[in-house]
Amino acid sequence: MGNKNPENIVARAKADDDAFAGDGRYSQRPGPRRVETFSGWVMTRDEFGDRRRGVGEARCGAQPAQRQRPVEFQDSIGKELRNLYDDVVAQPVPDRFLKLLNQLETNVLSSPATSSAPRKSE
Amino acid sequence: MKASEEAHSAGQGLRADLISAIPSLRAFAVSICGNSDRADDLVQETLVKAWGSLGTFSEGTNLTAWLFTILRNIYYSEFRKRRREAPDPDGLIAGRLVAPESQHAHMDFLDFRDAMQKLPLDQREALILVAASGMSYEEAAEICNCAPGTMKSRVNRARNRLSELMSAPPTAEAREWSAAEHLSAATRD
Repeated sequence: MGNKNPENIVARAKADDDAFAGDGRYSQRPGPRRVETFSGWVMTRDEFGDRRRGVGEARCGAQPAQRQRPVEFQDSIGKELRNLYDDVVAQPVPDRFLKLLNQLETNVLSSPATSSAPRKSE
Repeated sequence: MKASEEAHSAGQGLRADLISAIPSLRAFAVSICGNSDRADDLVQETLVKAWGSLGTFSEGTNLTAWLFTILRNIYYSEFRKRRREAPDPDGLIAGRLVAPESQHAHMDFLDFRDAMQKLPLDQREALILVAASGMSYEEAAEICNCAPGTMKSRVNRARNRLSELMSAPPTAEAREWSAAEHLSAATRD
């Protein structure tokens, strides 16, 4: 609630809904880079180029136990922590990880009998 | 043929999910260990481990939380191992912190990261999960396998300790004292 501009929260919530496909899975879409933050919010850095972050429980609504709104400290420590964190979140995914995933996929596909094969049914 | 096609499309969806989780995972890793290179190694290990144990991931639950848990476990076991092998490993790491990625107005960036690394690990991760990543106390508690109340008190203690560390510029004596504390902590177990 301490957010400076509450409209952004609404806009983010919409971006959030847009970015999730019907099955609740994150969908990759062209356009501004979207970043899924921990709580399931999606930040669009190109649209909200500032450091304010989406904090909320909307996407975690599946667990009704989470009535409490995630904490946001407005003092300098809280800001510094978020800056530090968000700076890294905003960085593009390094190539080494894309290569790694390629490698992992190749290994699984070439030996489908291994127990490490993905078990996703859809 | 069909099975491999299925595996392929499942792999694609999973790949996209994993990629979208990587930025948060890197942020968590670098915040907790205070070193970019080591953080990315942690992320790499996490991805490999996650890929190998996808069978234990229940669909529909939070993939990022699951990955955070894996990363945390890897970090903890490394942390324990390093403490056994070499006293004060984190003090050394804190000494060669990465350069700041951007300028921040209120505090000196390195001082802040330095102070973060001086927090006990359980308090540091609590602060990162709740105050930096935007998790609720409940979510963070689940990752750290503790009660939400414990999480809350860790966050409070971390914040108090951090503001102490930030408000008092460390003197040479304080640095020595802190190093000695590290050493004694390392030899305690």
